[in-house]
Amino acid sequence: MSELYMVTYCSRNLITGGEAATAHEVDQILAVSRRNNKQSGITGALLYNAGSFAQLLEGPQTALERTFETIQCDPRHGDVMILHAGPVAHRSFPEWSMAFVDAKDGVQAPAAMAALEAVLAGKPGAGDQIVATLKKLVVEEGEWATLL
Amino acid sequence: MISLGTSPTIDRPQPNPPALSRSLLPAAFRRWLLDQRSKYSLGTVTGIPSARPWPKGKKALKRWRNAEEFPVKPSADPLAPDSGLAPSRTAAESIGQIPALALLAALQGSGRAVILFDAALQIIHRTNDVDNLLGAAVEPDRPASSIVELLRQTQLDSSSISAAHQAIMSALQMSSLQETLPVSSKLSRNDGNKALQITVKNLGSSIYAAFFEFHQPAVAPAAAPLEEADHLTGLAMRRQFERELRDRLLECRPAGVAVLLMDLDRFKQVNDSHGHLIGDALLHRVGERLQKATRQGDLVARFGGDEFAVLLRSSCSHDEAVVIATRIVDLIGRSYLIEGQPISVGASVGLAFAPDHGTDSATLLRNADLAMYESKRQGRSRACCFDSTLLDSAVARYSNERDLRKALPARQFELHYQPQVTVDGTLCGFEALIRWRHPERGLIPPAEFLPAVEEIGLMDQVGSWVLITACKEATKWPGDLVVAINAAPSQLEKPGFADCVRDALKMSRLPGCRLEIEITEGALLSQGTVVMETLQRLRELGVKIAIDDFGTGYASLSQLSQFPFDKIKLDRSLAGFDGNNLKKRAIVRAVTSLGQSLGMTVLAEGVETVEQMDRLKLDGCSTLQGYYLGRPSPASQIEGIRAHFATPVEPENNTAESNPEGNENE
Repeated sequence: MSELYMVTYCSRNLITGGEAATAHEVDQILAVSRRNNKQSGITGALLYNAGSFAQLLEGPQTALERTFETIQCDPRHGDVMILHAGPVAHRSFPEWSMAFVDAKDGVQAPAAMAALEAVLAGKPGAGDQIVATLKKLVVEEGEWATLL
Repeated sequence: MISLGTSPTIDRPQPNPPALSRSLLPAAFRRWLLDQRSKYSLGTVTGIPSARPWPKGKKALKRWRNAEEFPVKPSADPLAPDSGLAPSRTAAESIGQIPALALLAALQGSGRAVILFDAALQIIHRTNDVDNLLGAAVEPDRPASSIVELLRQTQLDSSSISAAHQAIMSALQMSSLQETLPVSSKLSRNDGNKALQITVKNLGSSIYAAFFEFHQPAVAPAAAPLEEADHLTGLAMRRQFERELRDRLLECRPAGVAVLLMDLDRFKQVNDSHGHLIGDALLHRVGERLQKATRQGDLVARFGGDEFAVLLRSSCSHDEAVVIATRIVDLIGRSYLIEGQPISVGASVGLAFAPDHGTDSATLLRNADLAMYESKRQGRSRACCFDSTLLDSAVARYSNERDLRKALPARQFELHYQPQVTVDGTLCGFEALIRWRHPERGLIPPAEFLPAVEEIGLMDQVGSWVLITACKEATKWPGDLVVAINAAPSQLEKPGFADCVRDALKMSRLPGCRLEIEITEGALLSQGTVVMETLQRLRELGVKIAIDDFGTGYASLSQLSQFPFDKIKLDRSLAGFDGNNLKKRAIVRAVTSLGQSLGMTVLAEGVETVEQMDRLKLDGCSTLQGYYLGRPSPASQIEGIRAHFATPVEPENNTAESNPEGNENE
């Protein structure tokens, strides 16, 4: 088992065809990534708003690089910017083959949107902000889910 | 040459057999040769009529397959009694004696289907492989006696049979052995997609041989055969690519054949900074992405290094090709994660289409290459299509480069010297500026040829020439007048630069303190340690260091603290402007006051008017340079300039004349 690694990136959404088509594609992306990630020991979270994606992936280095390469070649997004890549001691999302946060839902939406835009505009420190936002949102969502 | 004189028999092999290597000639043929030798009672095989020395290795095999080279005397009938080969004239009866049968015997079990037949198309003999290969439905009790009958018994389709028949009939038309060229037809078998090739040869003596071979159809372009694959990426290599390209161009419609060349931007930096292992892994990923970006049927190849090529599948429209090229630029340019490290490169792509941009592979590839060069020229990470203007500019570039290579030995470079004057009107030195006196184009300013000098790798030689020429010139000047020369970043990045300067000083006997080296801010950014060491060594030689074009690109005041420069040369954009730009003046004042506190002279460049001069004086500049104070002039005029400044009165009255040559310090 190779070392545990993490990569965070954000990218621009290139899906065309309106909200419904986009929602459908995002569902597809999630379904496929959840299935594949489970097999290769990858966990993480995906943040989405209308214009952009931000994703955190963590897992064994080799599997992680393979997954990242597949994601990189996906034509449904572009302008991929790696915010962080490196070894980590433990997983941030051990429970999630791919947690999903739609930035237009929930109370954290404005914060998530602002974080994404800051990253895409190349603001320093924005990458850490995204990771923090992702963690916070996913945890909140998880807590919310346990209340049901 | 092989002599059989000492040839061993096959039963008693010598430790180091000098003739007829076992591996090359089938045993049956060797037996036959030895048999012939005994018949002629001669010691060597050269005693056989017309037999030529047998070559070694592959050549031997080739001749062995060429029936015309079979040792049969062409002028005489080998079956005539006096030939010593056979007592009878009947082909069928004499086959035991003729070499052709030895050939056949040798081919028995070799996997090749060969039929020997006579002029009446009657089969004399055939190898067992005929049945295997052609799928002949042999009836043991009634074997086919003629070749036509045999062909009918095979599983060949009717058109193949008639083509084979035709090939055989054409062979029969051959009147002499000189015409025993193979007659081939590409046939197809009705049970598969293999192509059958039949080669008929006239062996002489009314005996013919038909060779049947099946060939696999051409390999699907996307999958390179293993033996030809690039070891790093598994892609096809240049040789296969070119062959495929030639084949497609030979097809009836060259239209729609498109060639795409791609070269990675910044690959060298990746290799240098991350090591070759990561570089190799990157090339592998690039190959994978290229295959993702292209379609089924496109051939992706690696030409070596970081150069890749795509042969777009036939009938690819111009627009489709551009879409693919754009996709490649996008996909290859996306970050890679290799060994846990994010890696970024770009792709510069060039496209060329047949027949507009060439109808042969060499022209198409050259034009795709020119288009790729254009992508790089336009700033990399993009795709360009070939057009004829690229060829024109390439030709111009080539002729320029050719001329430039001659310029140094032909003494076409000259140095012009522009005075540097203190604010009180005292001449303190000259900046040496290179010019190229082209025999046809006249005097060419440095901005127009130095980039090419850099590109063709002549910067070191030209730089050395400037150095030694300027130093020699300066020794003719009285007093402590300083000569300033410009050093390109590429010169400073090489560890030998300080030695060059030392040698030039030694040779010219110019004291180090009378030489000033001007470096640009950009030179400090790259290869920091080498440059800093060089500057330190120059300082030890007593040479002065000036920082040129200050306030342009990367104006960073922190650089001034990295090294004790002697002089700051304010860029002309900060000095030579008209009117009262308060912001620029504030910068000038900040730099001059900084220079004063760091003990550096501040020189203003591009001074063209008296107003500019007065303003710069006010803002604290101590030295000035520009058209107002004197243009760059040939060495012959320096004495006049010196005389002019000897009595420090009003400088040359040369107001408001613009500088047509742009930045002198390029």
